Amino acid sequence: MVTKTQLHGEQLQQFTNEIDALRQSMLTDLGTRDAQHIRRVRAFAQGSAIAGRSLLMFGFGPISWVGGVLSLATAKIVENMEVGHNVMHGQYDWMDDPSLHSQTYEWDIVCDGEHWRHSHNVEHHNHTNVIGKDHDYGYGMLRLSPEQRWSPANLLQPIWYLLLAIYFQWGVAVHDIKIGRFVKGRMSKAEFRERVRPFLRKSGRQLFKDYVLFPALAFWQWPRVLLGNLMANLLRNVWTNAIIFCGHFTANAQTYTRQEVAHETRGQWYLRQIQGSSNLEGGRWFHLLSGHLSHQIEHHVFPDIPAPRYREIAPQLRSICDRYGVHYNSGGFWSQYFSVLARIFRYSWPTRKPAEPAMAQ
Amino acid sequence: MHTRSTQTTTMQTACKVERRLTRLLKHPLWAPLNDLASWERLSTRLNPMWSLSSIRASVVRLVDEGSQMRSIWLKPSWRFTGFQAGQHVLLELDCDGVRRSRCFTLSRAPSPDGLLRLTIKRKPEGPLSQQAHRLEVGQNVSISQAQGSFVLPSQGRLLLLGGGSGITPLLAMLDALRTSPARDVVLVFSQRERAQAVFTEALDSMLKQLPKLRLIQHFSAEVGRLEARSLATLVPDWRARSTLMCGPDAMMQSFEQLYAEAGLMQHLHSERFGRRAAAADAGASSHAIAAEKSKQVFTAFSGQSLLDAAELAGMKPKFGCRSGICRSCTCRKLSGTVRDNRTGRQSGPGDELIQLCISTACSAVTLAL
Repeated sequence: MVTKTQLHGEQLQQFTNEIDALRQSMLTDLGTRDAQHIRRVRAFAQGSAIAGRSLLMFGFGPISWVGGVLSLATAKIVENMEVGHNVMHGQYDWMDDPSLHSQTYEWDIVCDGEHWRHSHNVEHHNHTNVIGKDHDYGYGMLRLSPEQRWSPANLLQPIWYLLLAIYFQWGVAVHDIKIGRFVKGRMSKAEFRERVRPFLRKSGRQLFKDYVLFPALAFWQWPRVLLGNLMANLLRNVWTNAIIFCGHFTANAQTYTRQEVAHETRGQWYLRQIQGSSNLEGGRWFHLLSGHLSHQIEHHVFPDIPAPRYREIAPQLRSICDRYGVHYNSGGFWSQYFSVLARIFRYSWPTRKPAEPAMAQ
Repeated sequence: MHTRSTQTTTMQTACKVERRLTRLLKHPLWAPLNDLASWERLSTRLNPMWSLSSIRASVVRLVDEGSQMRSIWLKPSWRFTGFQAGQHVLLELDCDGVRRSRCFTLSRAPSPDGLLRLTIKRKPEGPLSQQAHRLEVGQNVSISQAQGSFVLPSQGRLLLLGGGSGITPLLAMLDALRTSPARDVVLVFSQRERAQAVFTEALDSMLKQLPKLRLIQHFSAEVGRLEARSLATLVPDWRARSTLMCGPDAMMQSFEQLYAEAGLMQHLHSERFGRRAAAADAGASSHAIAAEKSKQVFTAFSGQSLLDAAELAGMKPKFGCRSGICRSCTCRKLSGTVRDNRTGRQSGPGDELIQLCISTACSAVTLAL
């Protein structure tokens, strides 16, 4: 395992300034190109959804069914990852287009937008990989680091992980309700009810759309549509889960303790974002279908810069990291994903807490 | 009596049913089938004029009026419901990816051909006016319905006071007056230089068609600024006329004072465009912040985040990370200049979205909070 790099004093300041300058250079360059990109991708997702749903509703035979499923799954993946996730980060707020406004955008997934904005934008992006504070670290069910306490339930975590991957949108949807806190008696019934309500509303609408409305519109073809929608949701779940797990749980992604981040400066926050994230290498379509989360490092350093820009700044950010001796975690999809699976298996067994680094001396 | 009350109840029930039905149709449960924005993206792809929510208009002619002014002739879609001379529309344009909109006067009276004319002055600091000057014939834009109460009174003698590009609503009014040529009208038009005079031809033709129009041209480069004091010599019977005024701020203020002192404010109708953004003053230690929705005014110190300042004033804006990462505190700034506390970058003076937690005031600021 790669060791964590800490920078101090003058060096940390220079590192911060270089990253700030990189951010500034991107911000001043935003314009028509970025606006065109997001509108085009949205149109692609919409077209793909129309094509997919039409094939499922009006097509016949297994080939059109498979085509419909793939097309609808692509639509959902692109809408969720490249449009929804990025728009809700405020990457396109500067365009002042009400249909692309971070605080009002609602996406095609069972997770309520407002819940997502809180659990993801506020908590995960702020407290990335801080054990106990970043609820995305293991999603409250997986042990991925020796810093987390082991319990016998972890022995079965490969199975839990498989279930999470299949039902990923539901995992994300219930995330911000914080059921664990309620179960442990740390949340009042009234607050719990308040938190459950948006989840029920949004998931009800999604279920109605995919499993009642569109099947009903297909009359006697309803089983085909229902199964097709189920399959498209499943494909989207498995794909997004794989991409997202490669973001922070690969072999060399670092974790942090509450004490480490107690008095963190912006430069140290940058360092944590870089060392706690990992990139995936691939072609243009791979990046698009991952919502540019294949550039997880760039995304975590600049969460509100339009995602297609990550590809452009990656070499510059990487060269800054190289100069300061900060590990830049990047690799192909399969090697990174296998290292995630390895981590899920390894930490399902009890391991000893690592020796405290010799900080005091 | 009895039948009438039954009728009213039937009407009320019908209204209620209609309201319920619209609400049902708009319910998110039917999404994406009732998502107007998605349908609109499809329809405008087929034909840019087929918009379901906004009024589209195509550019049919461009005329340079001199002195950085350009007239843009538009043919609006059927959704446009007409206007009165003196009113304005909001023009919405995409300026390097940013959607911006601003008010522009319709500089021509309504006419049977249905064409609209916007006369826009190019301003170096105004991205929208620059983009408007880049428009080409055949392009499509979005406009709003006509707005504004700056219109001709139905009778009486008139005095029109115009300064610079403020002549545009008055031109539309003169254009409209051609149908009643007996109206007694005086136009006082102040411009900077004779050599760069605008609308000379248009005004000449108005003079021919309106026998009772008197035109007083004023060139400030030659004889100094048009002062309200000189109105009595220029138009001796100004007190007896309904006055319509549009021009630069300084000119409008001086005339407003004159009318106020004479107790004739009810005779004076004036048209102002846009919010006047307060000038940025980096040296000041505090600035007044107006929160428009909650109708509160509070003070923000230089360097203090607007989020902190609003909370100290007892307001409860939405917030998240408080360090500029999550965008939960994104808020519309209507006017004023702010600075990003992290990078030191200063914003523009106009309407845009800002993050309250990392923005500090550099001038008086109005927020849509």
